[in-house]
Amino acid sequence: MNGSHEPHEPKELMQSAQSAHQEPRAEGVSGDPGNRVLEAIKERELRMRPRQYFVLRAILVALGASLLFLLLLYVASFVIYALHMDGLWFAPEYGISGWLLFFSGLPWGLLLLSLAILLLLAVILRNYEFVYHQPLFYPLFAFVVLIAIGGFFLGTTALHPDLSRFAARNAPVLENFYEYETAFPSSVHRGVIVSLGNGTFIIADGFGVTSSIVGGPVQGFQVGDVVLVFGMRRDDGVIKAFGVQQMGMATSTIVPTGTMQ
Amino acid sequence: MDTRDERRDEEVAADVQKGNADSFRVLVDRYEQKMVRYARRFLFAGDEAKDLVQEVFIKAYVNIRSFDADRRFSPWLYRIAHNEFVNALKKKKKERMNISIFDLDVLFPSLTLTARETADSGFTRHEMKKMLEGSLEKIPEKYREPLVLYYFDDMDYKEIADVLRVPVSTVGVRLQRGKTMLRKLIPQ
Repeated sequence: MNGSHEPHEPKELMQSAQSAHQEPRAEGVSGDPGNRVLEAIKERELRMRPRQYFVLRAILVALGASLLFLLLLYVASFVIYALHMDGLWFAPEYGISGWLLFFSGLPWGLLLLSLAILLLLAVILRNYEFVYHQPLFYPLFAFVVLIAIGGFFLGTTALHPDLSRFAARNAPVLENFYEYETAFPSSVHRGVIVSLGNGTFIIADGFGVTSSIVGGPVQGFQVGDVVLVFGMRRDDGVIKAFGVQQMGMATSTIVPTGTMQ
Repeated sequence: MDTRDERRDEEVAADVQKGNADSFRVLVDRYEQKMVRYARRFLFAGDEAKDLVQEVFIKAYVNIRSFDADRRFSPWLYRIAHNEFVNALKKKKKERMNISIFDLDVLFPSLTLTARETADSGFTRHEMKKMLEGSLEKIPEKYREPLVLYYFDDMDYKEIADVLRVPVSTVGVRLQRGKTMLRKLIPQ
């Protein structure tokens, strides 16, 4: 029942044990710690904890670990969702500049929070054989892989967009969470292509503001395509792109309504 | 000393769990001296060892219903003792001991053992015990405890792993490292 078999601290009974410490030792049994305990049992100063106590404790630990696991899954899936939302998820496809943008824009706070939850989970589960019977690296790695796969799966479903809409209507605190932005959103521009030229094109964002793009590939795009443009805006207002990503059906579903036309 | 009761520890513990508190005496008789020796070798505790062992038996009795009688009793009791002794050490030293689940030898046991350390110590078990008797105090607690459990309490790697809650390979690493330290302490 109690999978960890961890001996538990008997608080209220330890008080009687501690008072036994303070008492002068009885002659004849004084040098014998076992006899003092046996006497305390005989005098009913010590009582066994009921089995239900340990069952309840095991259930609470399992429940706590499960909740932490679900929280970790939620945070990981939110990171995936946020990266898709900001377009950073697609940035590594465009070489070193893309990777730099990706890493500089990673939500490090949430990743550190995930690491903290993971370590807390390891501490809680360390007394269980399936964790301590092998090098700790393996269960930690298994958790990371499980969370990454689960997080990716959840992050690309309608869960977070639905939660975001729900939060906007019913939970303002959660809504702030869903307004999360990565560190360099200014390097990613979303919009609809409204005009195509020779090596340039113009996009319009959700507010109808247009931006000229240079440097990005224009082949394969057409007016009306929803795109993500990676690149910094120059002083003259033109965006120097190092990559352009067309938003497909799968990705466009996770871009919040309103940010695009 | 109870020598007449031929039941296994686990059977006796199961009897205690059913409410037969008198059977606890059998367990106390069987383990009291072992626990005192374990405390003295691990902590170098004098009279304090008896107080600590008393606490161990109190906790064992109070929590005996958390013991799974299908498993071995000895590692369960030694686990209680380990926790008690480590807490005593922490109080004594008033500093953080280097025994953590995030130790490198718990994360990657095989990576932390050097080729020199994996070499056979070249001593028999009896010789090792004799050498340890005089040098245990000079070996850090992290390596001392598995040495005590292995050489003096005759536990195997799996049992020590269950007491310390570390991988079996980590027990191997700590034993090897402890033996290497011991070799350095003993003039050839």
